Amino acid sequence: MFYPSIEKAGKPGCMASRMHSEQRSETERPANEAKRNDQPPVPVRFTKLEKAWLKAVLEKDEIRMLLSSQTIGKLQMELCDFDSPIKDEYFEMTNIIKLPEITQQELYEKNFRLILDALIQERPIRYSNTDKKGNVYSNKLALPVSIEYSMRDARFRVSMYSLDDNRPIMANIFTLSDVRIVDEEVNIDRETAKKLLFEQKYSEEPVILEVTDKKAAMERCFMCFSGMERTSRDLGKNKYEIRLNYYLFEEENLIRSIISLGPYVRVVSPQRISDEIVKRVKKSISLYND
Amino acid sequence: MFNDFIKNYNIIRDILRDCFLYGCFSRDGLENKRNVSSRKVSYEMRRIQQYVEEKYIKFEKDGRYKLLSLSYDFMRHTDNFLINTYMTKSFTRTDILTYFHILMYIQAKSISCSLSTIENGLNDEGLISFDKISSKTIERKLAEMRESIGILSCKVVKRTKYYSISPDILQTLNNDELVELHTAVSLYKNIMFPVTAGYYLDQTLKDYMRYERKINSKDINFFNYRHVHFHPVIEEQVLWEILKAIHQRSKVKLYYHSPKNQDNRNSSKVLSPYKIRYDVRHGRFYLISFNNYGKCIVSRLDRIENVEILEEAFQRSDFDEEYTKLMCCSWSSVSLDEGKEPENVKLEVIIDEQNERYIVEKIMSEAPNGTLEKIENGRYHVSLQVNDSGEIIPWIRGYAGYVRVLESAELAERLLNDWKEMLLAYGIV
Repeated sequence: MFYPSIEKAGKPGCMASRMHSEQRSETERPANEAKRNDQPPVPVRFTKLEKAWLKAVLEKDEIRMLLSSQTIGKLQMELCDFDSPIKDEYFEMTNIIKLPEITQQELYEKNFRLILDALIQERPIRYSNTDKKGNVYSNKLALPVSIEYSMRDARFRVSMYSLDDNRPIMANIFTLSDVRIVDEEVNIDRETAKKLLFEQKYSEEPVILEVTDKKAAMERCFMCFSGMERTSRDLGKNKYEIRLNYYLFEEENLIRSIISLGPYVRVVSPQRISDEIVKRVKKSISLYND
Repeated sequence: MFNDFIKNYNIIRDILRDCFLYGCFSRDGLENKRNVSSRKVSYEMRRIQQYVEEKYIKFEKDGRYKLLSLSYDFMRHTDNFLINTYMTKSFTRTDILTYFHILMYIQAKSISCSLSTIENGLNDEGLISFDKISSKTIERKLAEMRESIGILSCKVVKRTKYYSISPDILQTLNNDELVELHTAVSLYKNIMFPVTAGYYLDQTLKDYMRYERKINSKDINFFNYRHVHFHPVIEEQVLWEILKAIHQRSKVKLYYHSPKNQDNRNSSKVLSPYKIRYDVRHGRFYLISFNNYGKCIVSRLDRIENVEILEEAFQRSDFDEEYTKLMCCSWSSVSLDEGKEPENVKLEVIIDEQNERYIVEKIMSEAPNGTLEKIENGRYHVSLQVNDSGEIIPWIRGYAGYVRVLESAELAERLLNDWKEMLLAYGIV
């Protein structure tokens, strides 16, 4: 076999010299060329598809929050002659949410990097924050659980476990100030904090919908609720039942989504949500009667 | 005989979509819906179960029928499990062996090798036999590895091609920078299309760190996502072909399939593909293209089975102005009909000024190009233009109890009828 001969071959060479040797043809091969004995038998290289994607990632504005300018520069140089068919100008995102631009971009990026570092090191942070209503929270202690990205508004938020209030919280990264990673002892780890979030915030009973499959109501329904755990069954006569499990903090969005689906989607239970929908619909009709 | 692998992703696309999106059809139910044989449905369902992790597959009993569904929870599950369904391609034994033997041979040689060197080398090692594999087969494999996969590079010296392993684009990155890149990839692989490419790169990067650098990469779970749908992945093979055509400025022919009958395939006229629109709320791709008469054609990617890239070229700039004119007032995918003007829509928003001001802000953030006028405390008018007001009805419904349509009268009536029909559905007359 040819592979074991690699093991017997000379001293390992540097990556750059290997690069050069790869580009030399066999006709130019120098005598006694050293081979790396630590190279894998099968080389690992990116495919064209992967390179195309990576090149497009390097064009994204937010990439500088994740990669140093040095790393970006090195990769851009390696890929400068590669022609990627993935370009922002070929896409248009619709049904998005356009939020006001972040004014303090530098602070936002700095906060993002600090929080990401805290996540990597699994250490708590101290921070100050001002909420929408102008309430100021100073020098709060929390354990970052994850950074959440919303594809609709293209914003990053941080999900944390507040060690002052012992509860999960979510904050806009750009509104935080004086963020710092601290060495303080905390009595919870990330995985436990995550579990608490999942358990405390998950609804005990599912929302049960009855869908009449007219005007693609079923398809619209599943697309709207694709990120929710669900089961469904065929009730016959073009009717279906869908059971959706949801997080309590998503209830308002869920109600709004159900109403947006129109008359072919009806909430069977819980009664509380069904009543809320009827209340809103009645109010809508009353607006036309005023 | 049941085969674990498939030659073409289209074979499982429809059934995957039905299983993933609906999950309420038994084998017999799907057979009726798709008009395909019960055996085929059974095979594809078995295949899907092999590729998708068990935790995402749910089984329900509905009387005597067994229901299979795929679902996930956006908080708990951040990795798109549907990517695994692309790992199903079947290869012949010769295909696989030739691929790895060539790679290992060139890697071991550490120099560029010609076809005859590779061929003789593999033969000398007893890895191939000229009786079974022809020069042409190896040449075709080398071309595939260079042109479509890109793992080999090639240069020509005196009309002879010399193949080598492609340059290592990560060579200048130190180990810390590789870890940094891995973190970035773990975020973007879920949010930048085609996400399948991101997942592939993530795996290759992990392999690179492990085998080329001897770094043990950890799984990264620092990010989670909102409004990231998994199901559009099913259309990404079609998306990739279209992106290539857009980039090359090549015209295309699209082959559609009707959802009810796979055999009923229709091809489109020749089209110039211009833009992909992605509806973030529903997770749906649309291709906006123009036919040879300049008419704007909107195609749902989930209705396209195949894309034929033609040699005929187009100028992208020819459609810049037309696209803006036809799509600037499109809420999602509806283009402006020829000779028509966008519809004016005026909404009245009624809120409790003290506590519900956020409703107005939310409406404005969701209404592209909308203008806001405060009439008095708690009463606002929002004006916007749309290609088709029917497209915004679901959005308006979402603000039930806060919004009244002032313009147009037809739109107001449609909404009012919807509300009345909804009350009827709840048994309120």
